[in-house]
Amino acid sequence: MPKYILKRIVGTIPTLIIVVTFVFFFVRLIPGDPARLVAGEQATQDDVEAVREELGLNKSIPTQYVTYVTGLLKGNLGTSLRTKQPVTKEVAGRFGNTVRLAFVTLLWSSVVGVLFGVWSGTHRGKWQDYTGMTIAVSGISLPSFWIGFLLIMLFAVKLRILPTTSGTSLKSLIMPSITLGVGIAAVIARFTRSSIIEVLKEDYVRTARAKGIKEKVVIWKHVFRNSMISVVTVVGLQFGFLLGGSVVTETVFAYPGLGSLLIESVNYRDYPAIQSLILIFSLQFIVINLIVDILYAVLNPEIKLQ
Amino acid sequence: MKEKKKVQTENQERIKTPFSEMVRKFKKQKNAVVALCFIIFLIFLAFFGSKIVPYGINEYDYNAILQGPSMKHLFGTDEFGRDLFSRIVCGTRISLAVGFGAVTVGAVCGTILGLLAGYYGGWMDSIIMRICDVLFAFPGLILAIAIVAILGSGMTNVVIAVAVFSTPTFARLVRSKTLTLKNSVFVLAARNIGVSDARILFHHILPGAIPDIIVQYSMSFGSSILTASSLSFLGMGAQPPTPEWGLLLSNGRNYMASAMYVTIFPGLAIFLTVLSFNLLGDGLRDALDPKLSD
Amino acid sequence: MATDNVLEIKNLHTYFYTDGGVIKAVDGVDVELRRGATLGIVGESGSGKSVTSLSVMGLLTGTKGKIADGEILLDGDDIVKLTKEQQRKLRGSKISMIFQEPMTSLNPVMKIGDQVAECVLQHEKISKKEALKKAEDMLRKTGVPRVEHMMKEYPFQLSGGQRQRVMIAMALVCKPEILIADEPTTALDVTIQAQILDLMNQLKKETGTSILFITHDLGVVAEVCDDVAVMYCGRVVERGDVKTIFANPSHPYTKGLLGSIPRLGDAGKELKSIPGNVPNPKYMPKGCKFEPRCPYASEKCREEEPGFFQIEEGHISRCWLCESGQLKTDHVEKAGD
Repeated sequence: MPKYILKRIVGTIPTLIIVVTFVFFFVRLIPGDPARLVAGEQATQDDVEAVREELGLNKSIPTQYVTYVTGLLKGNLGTSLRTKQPVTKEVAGRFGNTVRLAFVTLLWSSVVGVLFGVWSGTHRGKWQDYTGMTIAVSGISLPSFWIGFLLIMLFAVKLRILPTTSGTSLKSLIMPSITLGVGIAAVIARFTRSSIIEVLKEDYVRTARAKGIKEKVVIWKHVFRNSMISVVTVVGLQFGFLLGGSVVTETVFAYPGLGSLLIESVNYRDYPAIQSLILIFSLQFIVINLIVDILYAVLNPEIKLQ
Repeated sequence: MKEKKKVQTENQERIKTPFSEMVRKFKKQKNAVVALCFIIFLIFLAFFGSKIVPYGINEYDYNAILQGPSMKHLFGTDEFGRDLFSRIVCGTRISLAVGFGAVTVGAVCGTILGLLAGYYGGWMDSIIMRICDVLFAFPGLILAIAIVAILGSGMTNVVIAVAVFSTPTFARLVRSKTLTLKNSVFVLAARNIGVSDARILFHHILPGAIPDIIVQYSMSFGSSILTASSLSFLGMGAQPPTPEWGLLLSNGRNYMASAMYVTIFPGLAIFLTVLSFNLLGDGLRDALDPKLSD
Repeated sequence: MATDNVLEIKNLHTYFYTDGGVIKAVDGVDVELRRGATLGIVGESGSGKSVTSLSVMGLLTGTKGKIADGEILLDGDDIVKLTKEQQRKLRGSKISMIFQEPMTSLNPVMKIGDQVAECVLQHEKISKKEALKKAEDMLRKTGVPRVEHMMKEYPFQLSGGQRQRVMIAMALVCKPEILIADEPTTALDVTIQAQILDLMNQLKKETGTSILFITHDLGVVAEVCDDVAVMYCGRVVERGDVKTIFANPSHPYTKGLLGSIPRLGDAGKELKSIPGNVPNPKYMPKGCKFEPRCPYASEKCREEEPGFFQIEEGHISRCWLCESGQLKTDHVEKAGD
């Protein structure tokens, strides 16, 4: 088990390097002169050269790369063009909010999704299945920003029981979290269902029934446990969807997280900030997938005992 | 003896071709059939919508600003008095074109990469799959935002962005199918008699992967429309006064309290369109998957 | 009831209701299992032997199969009429089953000891500790090595033969009256096959459990069975005790099966096989179901399906050739020419 975990951690290193490299070149792919962009339209040629000097853009690409990576290792993400503050500072202020929203969302949507999936899968072809899957396919088809608006219209404007925007209290998390989680719960439900159906065909399920085990126990002890091995992987992949979705959701609710920061930065053409945020989003995704891999091993004795 | 032969031919007559079997199974999926009809209707709107709508998409009427749905304006009017129904109908073309463009590019690139990676293996496989891994390491919408941030806003760039992140999905799908088919008897036989690699790839392996590609195509179509409208909603896709659905919706949020239909109808249009592509994908998958037939 | 039959299947019909129509997988099966004996049910794949066993186990739920008609008497009581819950309580305690695929029949994420003990815990009111003790004792009886270790191991750490021993332990741990063994040795190596068969014979003697042995392998039947029922197309075509069937097979299908066993000393001779295939269940012949493949078929066989004819005490056959009771096939071959 420790060996397996170590192997997975080492396995993410190439991906990490490529992601960092990609993000490094990202700014250099922007058409035009980055120094001019940073300095602004009205800047004189001298100013532009000064900025170039300051950002180290006059040095060779490999030197720049080394500078960038050493900076990253020291936790230096550059300076925001918009606020003239270190990006690290801005990110730090909002990171917790995004993580809180993501965590709450992943928690409820996994539970709801898995329950719906088990319910549908174990009643395959019956009305329960059709109901569950109709809700799920609608869930993956709903534009999240639309859900957000409908929720605002209903709960904030008409019923006035929830705050419209911002804040990070649990109450103000409700609407953003629903908006973000509906699609994820739906995907998890669909996947859980097909996984349950696959496992139900397995010989060991027949063995369990032949032992006279109660059907409820067959489902939750034998079928559920085995189908979760593959569902866990999908929950991990959904986290990527969740990070992307957080951009939209945070914008809809003006929620002070990393997603809305990304949009503000894009609108302001704040390239150092965009660069850092994209890096942070993919780092989160990589870390989550690592956790998922480990969870997968915990559920699967064949890997756990290697 | 004669009778026995007759029984045999009877048996053979009843054997169905894979295609007719697929059609039979597909027809049983009522949801998917309805969805297909709706998609055909959408395609019709995409081509002829602009000719049948009652108002022009940029026909301003300052005497009828933000009016609720009525017989005159089925879905009401926006803040410039433009007819929302006409704008939504004309927006069909944009959403379908984005979905079609992005997914087709993604599917073609992904299929070719998947075939090459699966068939040749070795360093080719390693490189292609590594690239896919990296693309997968960026959450979909974030990657699209990154690409649009580089290339600038606009629908063409949105299509490119969506195409880029749907490519690895197809590549992985086709690669795994190729790996299975590569060692099948008919491919080995074709190789033994000296059929060229290109011919084996496109005549022997690709047809085997087509069903999976079709299902993925339909599913990706729905999610691409969703992503594109999200980007427009965030102000990175279509620009005003284009009647793109996500943009219409984003516009409507300023009038949420007084005129909620301005957000409700474009959202409904996106939802129903994406829903029909997803239902079609589900129906095709169930009709094509031999595992589900029992 | 003053019968020494622990299990009687009477006129069993199990049909599968599929989209393409009704498939009559089991279409009139009558067999009796004597207490303490082993009954072999023999047939090719598709003959309905496995469906018969699933019908007895009440394991058709989840499939499209249903028992359309017939009785299954366990100690004289019809178990078809029981509720699902009552049937479930019989499974594992009074009737248990082992399967063909030892590799996939154990839950991959549960420890061996827990899987065996689970059965005890379900049917008996004892503590987990006692159940594990029982499981351990039973595993020891099946002759698996290092039992204490294995209790805490997962199926992937065991070989196929060991897994089948675990399956047997699991099936017998509650001391059932009947053990149904569905091709328990087919997936195993020949040497392991013999060991497993020995084990089953030995445990049968120790526990007095009656065995319903499903197989396509007549060699195995000769080794472990007391009685035999030969099945073809969902019907029993010949029934009798094992010596009689081997010495004096009277149904052409049984003869064909016996003829296709390779024997020492046959080297050089062509191996016999039954020509043709099992008919598609959707296009069953009208008369005798074996008629299209039967070398002795006549017009009557084509038109009308035969019932059972008694050949001698306890030996019956579903073939027109046996109508007069004692017909020897040699005569018929001449008559047929």
